[in-house]
Amino acid sequence: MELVCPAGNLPSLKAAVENGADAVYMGLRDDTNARHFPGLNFDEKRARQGIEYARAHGAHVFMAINTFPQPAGWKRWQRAVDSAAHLGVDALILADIGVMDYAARRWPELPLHLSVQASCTNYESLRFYHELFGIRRAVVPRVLSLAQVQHIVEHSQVAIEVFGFGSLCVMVEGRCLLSSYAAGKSPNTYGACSPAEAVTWEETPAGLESRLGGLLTDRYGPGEDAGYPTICKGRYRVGESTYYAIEEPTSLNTLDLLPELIASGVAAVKIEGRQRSPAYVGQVARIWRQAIDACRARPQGFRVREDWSRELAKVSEGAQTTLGAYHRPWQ
Amino acid sequence: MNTTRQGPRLPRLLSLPLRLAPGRLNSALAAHLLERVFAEQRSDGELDFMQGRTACIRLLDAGIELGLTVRVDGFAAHRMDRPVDLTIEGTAYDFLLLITGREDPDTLFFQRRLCMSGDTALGVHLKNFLASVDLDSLPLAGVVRPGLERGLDLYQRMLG
Repeated sequence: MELVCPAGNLPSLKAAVENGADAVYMGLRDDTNARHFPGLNFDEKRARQGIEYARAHGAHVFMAINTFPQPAGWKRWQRAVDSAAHLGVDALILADIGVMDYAARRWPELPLHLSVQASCTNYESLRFYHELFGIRRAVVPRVLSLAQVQHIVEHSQVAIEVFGFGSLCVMVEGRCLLSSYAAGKSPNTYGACSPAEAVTWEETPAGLESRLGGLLTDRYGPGEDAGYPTICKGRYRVGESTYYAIEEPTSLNTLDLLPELIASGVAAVKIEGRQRSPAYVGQVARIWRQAIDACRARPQGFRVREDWSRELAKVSEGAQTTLGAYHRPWQ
Repeated sequence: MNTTRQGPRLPRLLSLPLRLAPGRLNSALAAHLLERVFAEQRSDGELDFMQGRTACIRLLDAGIELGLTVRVDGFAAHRMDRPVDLTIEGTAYDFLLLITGREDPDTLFFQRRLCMSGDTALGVHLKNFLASVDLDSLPLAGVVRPGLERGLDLYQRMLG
């Protein structure tokens, strides 16, 4: 099983590779990818250096072009596909059918992966993408249980990649409009749930307040852990109480499921967090490398080490982790 | 949920020499050092986003306040009696963790150890700029980085 790690910049890419990533994924410096933040991602010069570095160390590089173009921006998405092809990436991670069609016709040799943003949750739908565009791998949404993932792996000719670790959201992937309501921009077309220019943090007598597009999303008391200022992870007054009405800030951590994921034939496990620093990427990649190696060597005796869980919880949003939808014992 | 962990704080006695130096002298020294360290990035245009913008870095336990800006000819001190676009606050220890790349800024921010106020886009851009710099390739890396690492180790042994 391949370990796929995030790279928001060159030092993160190097940290991922040095700590055992089999592949890294990156984006370009515009709205063609779903981590569109000022100063993040790769220009052509840095992308070339990153690809060279990864290749010299035996790692693959994928380019995420996983937002949905609007008519006025179509040329930018075409350019992104062409640049990635010229740079010589090992695969494109795509979500939009039009972009996929363009890439499949213009660069037939370039492997295509289906992004989680395409929100593809069943093998019939994967078959469709495979027949039409020849996709070789799909990242499946985090709403599936382990049994459902296993079912897809058994019946699909497309390799399956799952999320292993990282921040969770409401997971209406590729279709979420929550932040459009507050910030006037959609994560699906603009590439950010909380566009930085729409976010404010302010210390007030009542606590630290985070706002998106002027709307209060949370107020943290002294010493209380903060989270990303997204609508889905805010606290709201519902009836008489104020609480995480949509979702708690938390990170997915599936280390416990590693033996089952490997045994079921999942092709790759993905780490979230292109917006995080090289320190985060290095720490998470190292732990997952050790865990995968330990699990492969002795699947029966595999135990999640206490120091792994502690380290991962530390870098997690809300300092807590969950098995998310993977764990549904009643199914 | 309340899991905030604070790192060690600098004893007041140790920070005294720094407190005695006037704020503008500290800022001017910091601007001079940053200009030497980030000369290449600035000439590549990677610091254009800071052009004419002002930031205040506050090392709370050390009692240091640095006012910084970038002008056409390079980094410069910014007088702190004037408004700033962005303020970042934390302890000297947490800033050391940050600039030596040992800790992730979002982690420190989630834990409320690093506070940011003002223009969020500027703060995010600054964070991403710093993360994108290859620390080992910087001028003075051979001098500054081992010095910072030693300082951090000493800090952890003495205060941790």
